[in-house]
Amino acid sequence: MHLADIIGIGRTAAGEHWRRSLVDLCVEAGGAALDEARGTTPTAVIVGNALGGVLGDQQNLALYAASRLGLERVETHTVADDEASGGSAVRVALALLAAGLHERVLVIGAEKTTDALPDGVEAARAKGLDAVREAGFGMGPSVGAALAMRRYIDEHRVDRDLFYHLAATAHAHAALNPLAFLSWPLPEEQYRCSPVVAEPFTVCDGAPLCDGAAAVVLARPSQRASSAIRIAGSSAVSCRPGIAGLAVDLSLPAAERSAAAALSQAGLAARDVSVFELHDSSTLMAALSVEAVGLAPRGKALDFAARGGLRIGGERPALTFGGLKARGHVMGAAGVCQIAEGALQLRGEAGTNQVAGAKSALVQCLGSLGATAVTHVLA
Amino acid sequence: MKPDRTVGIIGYGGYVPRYRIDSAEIDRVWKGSGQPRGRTVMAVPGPDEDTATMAIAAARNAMAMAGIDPSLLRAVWFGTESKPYAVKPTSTIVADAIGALPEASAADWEFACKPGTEAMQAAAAMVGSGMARYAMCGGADTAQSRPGDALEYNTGAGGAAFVLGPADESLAALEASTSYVTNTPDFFRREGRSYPSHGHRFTGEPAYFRHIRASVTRLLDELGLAPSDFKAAVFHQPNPQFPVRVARELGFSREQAEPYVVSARMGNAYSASALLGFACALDDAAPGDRILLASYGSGAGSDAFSFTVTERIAERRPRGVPIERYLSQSRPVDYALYARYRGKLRVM
Amino acid sequence: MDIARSWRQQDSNLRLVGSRCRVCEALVFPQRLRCPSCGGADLADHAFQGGGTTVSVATVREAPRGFAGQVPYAAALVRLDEGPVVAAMLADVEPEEACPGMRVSMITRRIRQDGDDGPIVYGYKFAPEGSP
Repeated sequence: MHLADIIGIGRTAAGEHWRRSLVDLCVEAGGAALDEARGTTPTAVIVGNALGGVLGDQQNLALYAASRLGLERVETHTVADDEASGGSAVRVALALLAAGLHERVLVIGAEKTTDALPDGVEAARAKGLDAVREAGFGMGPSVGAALAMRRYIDEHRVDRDLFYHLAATAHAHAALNPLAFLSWPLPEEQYRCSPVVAEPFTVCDGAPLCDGAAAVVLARPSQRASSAIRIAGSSAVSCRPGIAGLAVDLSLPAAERSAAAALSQAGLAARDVSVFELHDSSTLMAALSVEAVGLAPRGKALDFAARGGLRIGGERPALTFGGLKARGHVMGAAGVCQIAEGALQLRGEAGTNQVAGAKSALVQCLGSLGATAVTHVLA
Repeated sequence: MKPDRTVGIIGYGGYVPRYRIDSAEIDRVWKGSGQPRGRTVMAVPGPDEDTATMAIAAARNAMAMAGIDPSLLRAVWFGTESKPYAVKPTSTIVADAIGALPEASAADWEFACKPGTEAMQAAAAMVGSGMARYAMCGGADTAQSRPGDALEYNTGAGGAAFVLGPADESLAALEASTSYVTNTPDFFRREGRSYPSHGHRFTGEPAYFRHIRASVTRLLDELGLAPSDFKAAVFHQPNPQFPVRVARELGFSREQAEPYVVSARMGNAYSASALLGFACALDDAAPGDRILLASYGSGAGSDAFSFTVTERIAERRPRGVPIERYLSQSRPVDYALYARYRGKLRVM
Repeated sequence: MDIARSWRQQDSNLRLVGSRCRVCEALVFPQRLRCPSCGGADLADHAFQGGGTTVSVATVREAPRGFAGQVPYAAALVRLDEGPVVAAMLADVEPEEACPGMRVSMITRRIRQDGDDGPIVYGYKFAPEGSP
């Protein structure tokens, strides 16, 4: 399918933007995307953001982002689907384009977590789980990942330290990415000695929450031949929320179905795809994502990563700019950030992170510990 | 005092938290010696425990032993001086947790360390008058003491609950009860203050000893009984020494009193102190045994009760949890952890 | 303040009240307005017995806001004997002794409080069966 053309890309660095507000980040990334798509003015602005309102920041964010970008008389929507917000914002834009309601839509993903203290951010993130029965009883995404990680270790009989290789893959790629938050290689010793968040889950298993934004300008598929990167598949699936389902089944059915549907729309199989940007909000979620998308059989994601299978130059290059784990976990911005990174790969503009000869990319973001999955295939 | 209809205990239960601090540890921190005379070990509630949670645990144990439908309880009355809410009953939380609401009276009773026995007298009156078939009473406290104060060498935590009902269903029947109450300010906590104040040696003879002697003497007179008629004599236990001494003064032997002095192993759990000792005596009792219970509450007063154990105790008791199970478990904590758990560290 | 919200949860929090579907007999925790199995809307309250087995445990050392006073605590998934799996904290067990496959039963503890002026939320935790 040919759902839309990506005619502009903008990214901020992922990191601690002490002098930038949430709206500023939207403007920085959105402005860069508009500059790239010069000559076209979008008539709709969709912003994906997970926590702004919960952390006491701007609500109705898309309105203020559009206004500060000088876009007046535009349709605006703010999309909040937990960590999948960015992917969902793209879906909303695709729907508006497909319905013929707009020709050009600016999609921004943005997150600003450094204005709040870490325990407050973790409590806010926890509201993406069952707010009453999970967040209300001391569970958060890290605790949920820890419970699933313990099960993964027991069920698949793997060494805990094997999760290192997923983190190391992300760090190795982030080390090449000037916009990454943790742009340094992760030594195995540092991973092993990392402080415990919730045994067996350590600081180095989690992706660092940080600030960042990314934007793309999407256009209705042009009739004329164009060199623009195409969105060739798009699928969002939500099912089975809850830590219990995740930890008991050790699978991501939403991610599996969403990836399969998006690939089928694009007429591709996972083995045909050149680049994978997955939702590695933790090493555990990275492992389950790798398996859900079909890059490794159940229980074998760690081995696959250990063999270098996910490295740039490896069998299935993934997390090519550092992923959430090392580029930085930009929450609601993640989905748009992944699309921007995937598009750069296909344009051949990924610089030191370039996957040679990249022809297609699968990008997937997950919300509520994988219960909501949004997958796009770029070609 | 006797109710019109005979009343007894249908089920009972206790709860003591698992952490323990040694009085030597208190002394190490405050006096530097670590070697006090009369060493005690005191129960410390965990950071997620309070009077309500301990009362709920005790109430569930009591209900398991009683084996009655909780909706038949017409009262759930707990005494405490460490209410989680200054205003809002603790007893409604307990009653909700055991499924006794909404057709039950629920209220918190206050009389320093003896509101649980006040509630017991009232519950006996309610059942004895025919207003209720069953009523629950009890006491629970996370005993408060100012850091370094003499009280801190004895303060513990725990809860106890009793289901009262008709004597012919009971495992122990109430013979009679007395109260002896005066206006004596030996120990108190002013509104809004965290820790109680006390009159040191004034809490002894004019307070604890005088009131207990009076209530027990009146009870024995009313029933025409002598100390030798009792298998066990249980008194309020502000420290391990006072109950043994008051027993001796009243003519009871060491054997009748000392086995039920739980405060050496868990500290003084205020409202639950005498009640947990009483539960221990019931755990030990055989049909036909007579047990004396005498509480003491500062301010001041003592309630005394005489119970005779029935043959039903044999089938009922195994459904509960022996107090010894709680007393023999223990996880020592040092003063630092104790201070954290008890909220004696002010953070932020 | 969290007053109405915590009040609404009291039945489930204090007595493990969930739902039983009158159509397909499915048992679900917590309470639901629609049966997750058959979609039916005819559900009755059902109090779970409180016995269960841990499926997974994790010792939490960095807690979300509101739970720092309890760290370290063992978070667990408990499969109730009737089937549903509940995410809850363990109590009366040292976190390092908690493991999957433990028999546990429901107890009531303070779960969190809304500052010094808000309500105290009491709710379920699970303790090793037979403790003490």
